[in-house]
Amino acid sequence: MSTTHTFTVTGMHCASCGLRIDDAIEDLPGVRRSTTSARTGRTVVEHDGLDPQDLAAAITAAGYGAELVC
Amino acid sequence: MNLLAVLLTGLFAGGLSCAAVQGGLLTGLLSRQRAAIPAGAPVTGGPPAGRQVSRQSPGGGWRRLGDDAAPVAAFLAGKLLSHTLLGLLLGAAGAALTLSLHVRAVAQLAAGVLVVVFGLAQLGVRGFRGLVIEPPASWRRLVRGRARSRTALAPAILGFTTVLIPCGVTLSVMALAVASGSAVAGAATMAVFVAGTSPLFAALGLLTTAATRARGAWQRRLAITTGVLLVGFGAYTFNGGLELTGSPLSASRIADAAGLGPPAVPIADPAGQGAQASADTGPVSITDGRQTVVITARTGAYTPANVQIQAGLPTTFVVRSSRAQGCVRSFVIPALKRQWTLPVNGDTRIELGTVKPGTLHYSCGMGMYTGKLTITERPA
Repeated sequence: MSTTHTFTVTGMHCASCGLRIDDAIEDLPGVRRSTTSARTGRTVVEHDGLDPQDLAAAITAAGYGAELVC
Repeated sequence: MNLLAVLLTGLFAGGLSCAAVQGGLLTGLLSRQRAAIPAGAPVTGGPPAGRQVSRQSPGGGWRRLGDDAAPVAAFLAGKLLSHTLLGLLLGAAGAALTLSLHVRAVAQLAAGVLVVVFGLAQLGVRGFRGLVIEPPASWRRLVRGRARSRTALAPAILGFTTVLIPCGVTLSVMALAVASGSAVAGAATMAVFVAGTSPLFAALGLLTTAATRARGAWQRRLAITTGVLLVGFGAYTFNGGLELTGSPLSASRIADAAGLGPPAVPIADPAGQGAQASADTGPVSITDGRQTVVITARTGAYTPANVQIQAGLPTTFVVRSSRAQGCVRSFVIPALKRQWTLPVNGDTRIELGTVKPGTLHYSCGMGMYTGKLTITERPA
């Protein structure tokens, strides 16, 4: 059963930041797909029922601010 | 083009998100590759262990850094190659624009504005802060795919593909490559920029967790330094466009109006019959009612920058090249709407006709180096 969570991400400057965040999140077991847009400042994560706090922690560990939207 | 300034920009920008974050992508790639090898996991296996654990093995930091040298070098080589090739293309596009002086000036003004805007975004100025140029999703997917590849060539290929995800600073340098007006200068501009980003990239990009904190502390300062450099660079480029159009708002005209321009070299021998322009007699000679003024074009300057000549005489303007290199070889007189390509050594003779009182400004093809002839009434 796939779940989707969206985060507002702060501290991104360019497309590389988005790629770095997606790279970090997709390293987590259970993540199917992560899509970050530096322009909109959002990360959408499709996963297999992970705790959103763990996803936010992965974004924070990569050096950015993360807040769960929905 | 001042490559030293481009190098400095790269040097500071190397610690910024776009360059240092790419280091994070490379780090992730290396960690996944390493995590896959000892476990004997198939390359298509599940996600590896967290990279931070594998990167912080006790006592292994320096050895790991040594191990990283080859892939980092491969990454930077790939990045250097793609950016240099792009610089070559951008410079060639710029060269096509330079066919027309007017288009060239407009292109340079546009490049200047673009670089200033990206500089202001870098500085976090309100209204510019949110400026993010995002490449198409397909390009980003391509780079991500390379970051997750497990082939031996993956670091080099990842480095090569980073050309698809330029940040504002890189885009600014691309604009400068176009404005350089030549394929070689464009390639050199991009190559020097990427080379400049390398030291901080290697230092910050590879030191994952510790560097993330250090980057946070330093990033603001680096962003401000890079932003200031870009705004200065953009203003300089924009002013070059103004010089090419002969605008009264260009820096050299404003300096003249404020009395800060170079003093005119006076006519050494106004009545000198038969005198030749030389170091002894000054740059102006008058023979049989004809006036000849000689200036020297060297790499980085035209000298003397301001020469006084007499009005009412048919005048030949001789630009004497002396080991001239770079954009001084492209010589522009905006008022005549004409440009000449000077030789490395030798004279270029420009017939000005009978000159009227006033000022005749000239500049290099990028508006970086300027000078003028001050035309005064004949002495009674």
